[in-house]
Amino acid sequence: MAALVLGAVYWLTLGALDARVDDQMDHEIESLVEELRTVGPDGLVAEVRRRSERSGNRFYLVTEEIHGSVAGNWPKGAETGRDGELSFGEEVNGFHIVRRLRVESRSFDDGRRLLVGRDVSEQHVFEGNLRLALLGAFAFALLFAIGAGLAISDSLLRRVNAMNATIGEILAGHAKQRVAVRGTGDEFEVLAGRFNALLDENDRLLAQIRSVTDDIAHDLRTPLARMRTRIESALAACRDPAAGDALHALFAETSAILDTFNALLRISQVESGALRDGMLEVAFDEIVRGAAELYAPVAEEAGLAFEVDVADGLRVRGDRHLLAQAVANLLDNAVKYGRGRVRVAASAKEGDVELVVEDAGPGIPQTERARVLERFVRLEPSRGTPGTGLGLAFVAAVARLHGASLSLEDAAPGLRVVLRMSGPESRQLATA
Amino acid sequence: MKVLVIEDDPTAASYLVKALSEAGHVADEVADGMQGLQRARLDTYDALVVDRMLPSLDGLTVIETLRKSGVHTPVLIVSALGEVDERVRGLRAGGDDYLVKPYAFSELLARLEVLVSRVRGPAQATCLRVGDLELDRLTRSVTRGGAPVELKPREFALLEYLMRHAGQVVTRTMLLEAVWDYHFDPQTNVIDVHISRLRSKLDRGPGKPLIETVRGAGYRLRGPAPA
Repeated sequence: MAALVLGAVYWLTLGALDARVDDQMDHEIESLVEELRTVGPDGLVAEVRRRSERSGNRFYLVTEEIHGSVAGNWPKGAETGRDGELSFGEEVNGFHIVRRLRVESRSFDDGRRLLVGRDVSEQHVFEGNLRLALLGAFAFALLFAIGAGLAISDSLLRRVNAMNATIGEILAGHAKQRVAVRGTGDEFEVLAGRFNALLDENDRLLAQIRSVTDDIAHDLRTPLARMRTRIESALAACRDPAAGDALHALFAETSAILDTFNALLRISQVESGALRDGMLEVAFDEIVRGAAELYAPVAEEAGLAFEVDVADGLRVRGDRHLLAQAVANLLDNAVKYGRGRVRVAASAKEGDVELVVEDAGPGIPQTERARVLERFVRLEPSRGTPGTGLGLAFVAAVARLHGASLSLEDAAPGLRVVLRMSGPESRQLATA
Repeated sequence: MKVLVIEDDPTAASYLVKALSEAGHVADEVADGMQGLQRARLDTYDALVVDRMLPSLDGLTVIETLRKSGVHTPVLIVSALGEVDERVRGLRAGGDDYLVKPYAFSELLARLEVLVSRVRGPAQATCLRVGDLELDRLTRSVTRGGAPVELKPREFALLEYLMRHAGQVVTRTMLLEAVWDYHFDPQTNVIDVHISRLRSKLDRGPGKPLIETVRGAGYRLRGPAPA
């Protein structure tokens, strides 16, 4: 577009200049012809001489058949034979300069010729300058357009990337993340605002689902407990072994449902943050060792090599019982799903305390890792294994309560769970 | 044994009383704290089951008042408040054990029987003996029929607890609480694995298997309660 506009300017300007020069030359010829017609050849010669004297870039020549050139200031090296534009050389102060001359001529019946010339070198220089200027302008416009385009697309890209990163974090389990809104009010901000509103709505629905499941768990707990008591009392009175077996199975099933409900309510209780007050500095190494000791025989029975590598003196600020249950849940999973070996390690890392539980089982695909931290989410192939689907959700809740980071990684093969929490000192600094 | 149930939920109370009598015990029920306090003072009970939240006088105050007036009947607190902090408060008030609702009756019964025998039995014997099994708490050694049995520290604690309550049912939850100080039930039956290891170490000789499984409840170490 810019190129078209600039091109048009170029051609129109040059055209106008050319037309003007041509007009002037036509006019001069006409006036000289008029002189010849009214005054005669002497008048023409006199007029040509007069004009030749005062002009800088206008050239004239009158030739006769017999005498050759009779008047005019025609430049030395310039042709006289043809009309149009021609070049001629000139020596100025020892420099050879090439000039451009536009020539228009008129021949008369008596053999006279009249030549009018115009030095258009300057016009050419102007033309060149104009071309240069326009090309420069074009190049500048082009560069500016490219630069502006890049800047705009970069800024757009950055904002799109920011939104993408937020979505990524939310998918990775940080549900509270939102897109930053800077208040410029443009379309992107509107989009970001809408997007955030959508996320808030999503959170609200999730919370609603949780509270509904909590209510169900809470309300069904009492009748279920009564049911279990009735089963127990029937069991106490039962003398028939077959009926006894059925009652025992019923008792176990009811207990399992109650356990699930209790686990669910416990997660909600942990998530409510109500337990944060009871946090003390506790010996994390002992918690991990205790849980490892509890699970070591289970791992061995399952034919797993059980490696325990716990550093001494690891202390964190937290709830001993919740942490113990979280570690136990991780070990429970590792022993349940692991193959070959299970490794438990706890160590100090730059002021933090890090727990690693690693198995060589089937692992959890990348896309499922955030999901398995939700309540009741179990990977399809493992549905057959006993469990409530609440173990990792509990661990995630405990991690959040303790401000710890929980990440599920690929142990290639298997799953590596890393729980990292700050040591008691940094924590105190943070809360002070 | 004779048990007083102080519980304001009539359905829960009547189930409990019925179940206790079916198990061969005598049980009375009262529905509020004030009445409960009076009954516990006047009558002689082997154990009290006290709900934490009661009308007129809450469960913890009932227990504190009883203890101040010199009544040392074992108390099992039952409560919907399951947090460890709540448990600690209950035990500080003078309760002897704490059971979170909803509980299985077998769990409550096992705990009551252990509580009652704790009062009857010797407090801190250094040497425990059940049949041909001997456990010395000072040397931390165990012998069966005179032959030494090598145990790991947790296995030792597990056996000690079983021997203290020989002849009584102890539940998996009780073992987790007493031996591991865990107040939650792991998903996998870890206790079963530990018991089976302990069994394999104890039952090497020709003697009878010592630890029996009580279906739907827990385990029992064969033999009479240590008198």
